[in-house]
Amino acid sequence: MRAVLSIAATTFRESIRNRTVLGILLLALGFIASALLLAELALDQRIRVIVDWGLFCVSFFGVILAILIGVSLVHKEVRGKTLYVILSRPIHRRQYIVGKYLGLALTLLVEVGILSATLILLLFASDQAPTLLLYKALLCILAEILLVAATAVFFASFSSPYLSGLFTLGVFVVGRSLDALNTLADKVEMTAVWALLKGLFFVLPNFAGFNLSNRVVHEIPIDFFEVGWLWVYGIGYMGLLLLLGTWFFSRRDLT
Amino acid sequence: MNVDNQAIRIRALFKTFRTGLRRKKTRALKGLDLDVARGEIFGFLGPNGAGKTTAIKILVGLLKADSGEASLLGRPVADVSCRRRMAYLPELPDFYDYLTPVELLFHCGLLSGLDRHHIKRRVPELLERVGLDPEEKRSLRKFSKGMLQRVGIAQTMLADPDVYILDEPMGGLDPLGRRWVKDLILELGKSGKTVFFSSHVLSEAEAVCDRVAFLHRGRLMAQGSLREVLEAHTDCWEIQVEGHAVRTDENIQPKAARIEPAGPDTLLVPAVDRPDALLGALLAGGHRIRSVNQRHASLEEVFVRTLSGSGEQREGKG
Repeated sequence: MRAVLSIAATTFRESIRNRTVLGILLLALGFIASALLLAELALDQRIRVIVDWGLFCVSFFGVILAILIGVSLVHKEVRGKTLYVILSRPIHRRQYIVGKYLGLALTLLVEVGILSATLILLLFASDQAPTLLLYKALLCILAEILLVAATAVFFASFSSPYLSGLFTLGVFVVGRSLDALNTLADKVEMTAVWALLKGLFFVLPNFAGFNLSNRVVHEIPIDFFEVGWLWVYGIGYMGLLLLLGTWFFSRRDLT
Repeated sequence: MNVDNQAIRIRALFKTFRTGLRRKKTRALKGLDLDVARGEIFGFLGPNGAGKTTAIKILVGLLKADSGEASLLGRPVADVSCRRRMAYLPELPDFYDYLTPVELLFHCGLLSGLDRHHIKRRVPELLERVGLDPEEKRSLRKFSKGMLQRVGIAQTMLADPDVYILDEPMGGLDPLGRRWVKDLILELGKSGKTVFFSSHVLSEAEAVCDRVAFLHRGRLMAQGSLREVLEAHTDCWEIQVEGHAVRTDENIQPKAARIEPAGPDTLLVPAVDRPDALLGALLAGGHRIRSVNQRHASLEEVFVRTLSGSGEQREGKG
């Protein structure tokens, strides 16, 4: 466990000090702050615009950071040969993957925390206390980002960073449209296409379920059970992806 | 070699890589056998692409062999626990960009299973020993190659392992840095540690090794103590004689293997024969002897001869 925590702490330190990551975080903060400008154009819908734009920014930049850091984690260490020094010590490869993921999750937690805090401050600055609905939506966005990160680590465990990035982005985009795919599958007549669409529907994580910003904007209630279920679903998928990633990584030749 | 006394044992090790879209096979190791005794400084030598790094990566658990056996201190390399007493330095390491040397060493110490208090005490000592400032606050990306190599060597010494596996430890270093690494290897050897290092710079290996092995295209070409390897390639006794009269002296010619144009008046006698009889004949013939020397090939010459010999064999078979 100590090895896993040390890998997680080092991953966190390395990611949080990374200038590219800091740059993206600053850009994200700028985009969230721009909600105030957009809100000026919306007249009586100011708060809705701030909430909608703010949640979009937290989710969008969170996903970008999860993919960017996630896919480069392993590759960067292979390139710099740091991984050789780490894995030639008395640790198992599964400890490395779990430690890396925990470090990445901690980094994303801090970054999503900063972005969320900025959004909440903007609301206070606009004389609007954030609702419980908003906190619930932010919690679901965090779960979604952690699941994207697990997907990125899974692909990074056996493929190049470019391919991993592409695959993760693909899974995320398709995962956001799973309900549409399912509806489409029910309408097609070709068995092969039906099987493909249904296969994707059952195998890929349903990212659309984590996106609750519309419900916050339109003040449709979200109960704690729903948030809890999304987290259980997300953690289940994360565990499965890490398990598969560990399996692939343990068999990988580090050339 | 007694198995208990073996630090590294490799038997019939094969490794093939598949590269490119067509998954073309590249055989990196073709049945490698190797024995390294405890306490030895062992030079694993070969040209670029010989398979040295592949063999080392199998030893430290980064690659899996297709077949064959590899063990460290009596345990198979697949057993993670054997790495407790081994340390590895990759060729030209880069490490983490944004960590300081202290943070990196602390991390490595924890991964080696060391106690936090022990690491806290040991890290400044080690940084001083490798010539770095223990208070260094700069991140590793601002370090030069030589400084990174020193950090790399410090991380190998953290857990005071019994076996050091160093891949091209003198690569990318300036002459002072290379000298420092050589001295360190010798120091480790004197303290009873096993040092197994790869190199393609043979003159440097010659200065520190107890035993060497030559690897070429994934095959072991020669293995033995430095003395054995060099003596096997002792060229001749070189006797310099004044004047040209020796060329026509009928008493001398049968005792000399050949007379070579190494100098105007130089006789060369193969080392398999003691030169006593020839010296006696020269003195009896009234020739004046200028010098008598035993001529060894350098490790580099031995290496080139071994490789060219293997090339000839392959051509002969082909």
